[in-house]
Amino acid sequence: MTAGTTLRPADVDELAAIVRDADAARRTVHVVGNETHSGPAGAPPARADVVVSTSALTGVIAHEPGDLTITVRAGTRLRDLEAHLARHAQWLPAPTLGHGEASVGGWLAIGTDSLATRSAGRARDWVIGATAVHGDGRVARGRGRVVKNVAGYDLPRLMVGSLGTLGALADVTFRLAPRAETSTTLQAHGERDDVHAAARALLAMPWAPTFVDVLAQGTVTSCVVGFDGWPARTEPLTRRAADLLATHDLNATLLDDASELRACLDAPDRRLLGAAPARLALQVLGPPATLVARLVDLEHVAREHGADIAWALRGGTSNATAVIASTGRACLDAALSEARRAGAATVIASPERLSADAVWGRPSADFALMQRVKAALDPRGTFLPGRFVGGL
Amino acid sequence: MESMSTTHDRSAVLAALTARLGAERVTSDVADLLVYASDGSTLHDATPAGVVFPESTAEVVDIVTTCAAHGVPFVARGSGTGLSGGAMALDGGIVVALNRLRRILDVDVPNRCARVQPGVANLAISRAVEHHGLHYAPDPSSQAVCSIGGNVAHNSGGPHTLKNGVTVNHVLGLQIVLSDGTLVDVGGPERPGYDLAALITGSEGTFGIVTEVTVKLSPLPEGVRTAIAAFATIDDASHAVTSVIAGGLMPAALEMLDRVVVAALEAAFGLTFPPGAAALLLLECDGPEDGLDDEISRAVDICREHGALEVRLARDDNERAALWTARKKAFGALGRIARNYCTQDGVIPRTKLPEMLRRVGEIADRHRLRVANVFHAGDGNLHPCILFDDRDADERARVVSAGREILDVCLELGGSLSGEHGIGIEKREAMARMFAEDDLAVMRALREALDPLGLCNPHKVLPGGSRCVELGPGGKQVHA
Ligand SMILES: Cc1cc2nc3c(=O)[nH]c(=O)nc-3n(C[C@H](O)[C@H](O)[C@H](O)COP(=O)(O)OP(=O)(O)OC[C@H]3O[C@@H](n4cnc5c(N)ncnc54)[C@H](O)[C@@H]3O)c2cc1C
Repeated sequence: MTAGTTLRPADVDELAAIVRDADAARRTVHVVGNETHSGPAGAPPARADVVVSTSALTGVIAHEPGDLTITVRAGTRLRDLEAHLARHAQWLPAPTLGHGEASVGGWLAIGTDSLATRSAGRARDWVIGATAVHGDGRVARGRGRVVKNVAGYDLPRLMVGSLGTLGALADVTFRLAPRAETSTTLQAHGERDDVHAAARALLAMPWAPTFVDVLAQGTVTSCVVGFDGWPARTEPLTRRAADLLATHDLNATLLDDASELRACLDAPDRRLLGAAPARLALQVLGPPATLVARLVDLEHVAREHGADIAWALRGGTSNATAVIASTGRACLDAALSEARRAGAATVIASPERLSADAVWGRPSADFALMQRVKAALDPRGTFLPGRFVGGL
Repeated sequence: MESMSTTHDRSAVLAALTARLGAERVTSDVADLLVYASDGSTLHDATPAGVVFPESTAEVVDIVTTCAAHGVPFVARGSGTGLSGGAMALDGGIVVALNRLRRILDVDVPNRCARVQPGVANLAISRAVEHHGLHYAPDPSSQAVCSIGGNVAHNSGGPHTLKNGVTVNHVLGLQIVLSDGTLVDVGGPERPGYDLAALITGSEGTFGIVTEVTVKLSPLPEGVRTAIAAFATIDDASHAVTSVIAGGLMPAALEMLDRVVVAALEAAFGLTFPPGAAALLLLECDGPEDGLDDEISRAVDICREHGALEVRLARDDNERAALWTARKKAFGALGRIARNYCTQDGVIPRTKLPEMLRRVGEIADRHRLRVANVFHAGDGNLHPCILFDDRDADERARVVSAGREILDVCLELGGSLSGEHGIGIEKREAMARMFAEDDLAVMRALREALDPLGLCNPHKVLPGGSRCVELGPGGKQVHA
């Protein structure tokens, strides 16, 4: 094994052997998927002795359409998974629209939620089983292939969002949902206050829109509402939503082709201010009702530094994305400290290399427990310590 | 690591706690201990060394710290409705009864969440927020009694988890007392890092005692439609379930009752069903009023295509409640036709339902036992209830064997040992049949990392380190 080469195991046993050898030799392992890198990038690995790609670990292992479950290898591209499921009129709320090139393993390591988070839940809510290789090369399977299961600790869910610091995913089992027969998307531009009031009112309705997002680009703010289902449901609900927007002085447009807009909302970190040469993309996290005020504060900071800013708020979730066309270190520092003044924020893309602390912010109160978990699953720090929050 | 506490250690803990909390809050009286020797499961019991009743988080910390200082194991207990022996103190440990920690600390309507103490009953949360048009969605059948702490420990589900998800999907954060007495706020989605709240959910009290839970509140559905379909065979009903799910519908609930339950309901409560009904399927759809009639009628059509003898659709809330009576009174009805019953919990892929139910029947026949099935069909979560008489030792032994065989069939068909009742003491040895040694080693490593003292609910969930559990007298019944 020489530094600089990328190993491509073809099955879980090969993957385990690579990790076991590296662990024994005290070499660090960095697992990559399709290297499309989206979502919180993490501090770049200080030293990766061995780079392992899952690009040869692809394909469906088992799919029982009647059970609405599928098991796929971790290197499978989201786009390919989506295409396979579409043939069976099934669906998984993965961020495929915005991150189609990402691998399943890469997606889950970051844990990026999709546009449908508000209604469908988070990435981790769809993982019902997984096989992973942990720090000492041990292969462990957690949970299984059934949609309801409380046998043993939930290892698969723990792996989601752990940035590959606890092990390498080899295969993953998801539960699935039936695919929507129809989708509608409404967009309404208007005054800031009206847009926010309308979004709040929509979120208070028991109508189950797939998403209610607020998009702010320059001086233009809009509310975007999506419904997915079948005509008997989506058509009347779309009308009700348009009526409600009208009561807030907003004129909603029913989009004929919303694929661009939905893709943008699925991956705002990549699409907003996409043409700017230097972009700082932040994920602002916190209780849903606090997010708007925090984004507005962030806008002030960006403008003070003469930088353009755009943001997308995924209504009813704990998650918003802000992108700043950064004009230098001072702006970056000011934006980060503002974003973290009243809650957590992580850096998804940055014009400069940043330390793990700058990317993730200060660790939360349960950090000591996270360290214990890391030590249990990766005792020698084989999986790239130093990248994740607090240097995990 | 396992603790090896002595009688002397346990007495020291109880004496110290009595001195600080008062005699009224600490008991080692034999009659009292009997109440805490078992939970809702019928086959096990173990007498604890003592029971302590904290009234604040600080007192929980004090109790745990005192136990840790003496190396005495402890077990959290909510309402004691658990069905896998989870709240039993093996090894004469201390039971920490959390039923006095029952305050709803904060309801945050704009952020749709509530912070509650662990002893709060599941249903009490929904009751407290219904005037805001909100509820706490997971609804175990025991929801009027079971505690949110117990729900978190077991990652409990219920009839409506088919659509709404189980406990873990509704927990935003926790506060936990670790075995060394450290109090930690554990986050969920609103901070970067490992999802520890999710790891602790479903860990059956083996990582510490949960002292606060922040739960997600969800809007009450605008409309609900409920139907009950009667089938001549359980196979027809099972195929209808598979078709409803595969056909793109996502009902809120899809519950099945078999012939034995139907007969018990008729005998016990005079409910009437179409002649020849061997299986009932309760279907519920909820959500926006728009499209709701269409959704339920699609489901009803599927039932008819699969040969339903009759389908009753509730026209109003009263009729809806009447249809649910059959499901809700099922356990009560079984209680009238058998002295005891033991509720099993297993999961299989939904498409295997017909085969599974056939094999459950064969196992019951082979062991000369009667089995009734009342279960969450939509997610393949089986609850075969084995009827028996606890005075008959031979029959009790056959119940244990049949239960084991049923679980083995679940595993053979690609399923799981438990969908919601947990592993507890009852199924920990079976874990070695579901998981490979390396899988279990990783789980064990996590447990040792989070409870290095080995004091939190020892001997539960993972196999090995065996301690004997008495079988019986087990004279209890489970009443719905
Ligand atoms: C009639 C009946 C119907 C039921 N229906 C369902 C159902 O539909 N779905 C379902 O999922 N379950 C069901 N159950 C099982 C049971 O009600 C649930 O498992 C429930 O969550 C247990 O809650 P409890 O407060 O009674 O917990 P207990 O029985 O007191 O304890 C259960 C476990 O939780 C641990 N624990 C309790 N509180 C804490 C805490 N604060 N911190 C850490 N650990 C803790 C205990 O140590 C134990 O291991 C049913 C039970 C009965 C009797």
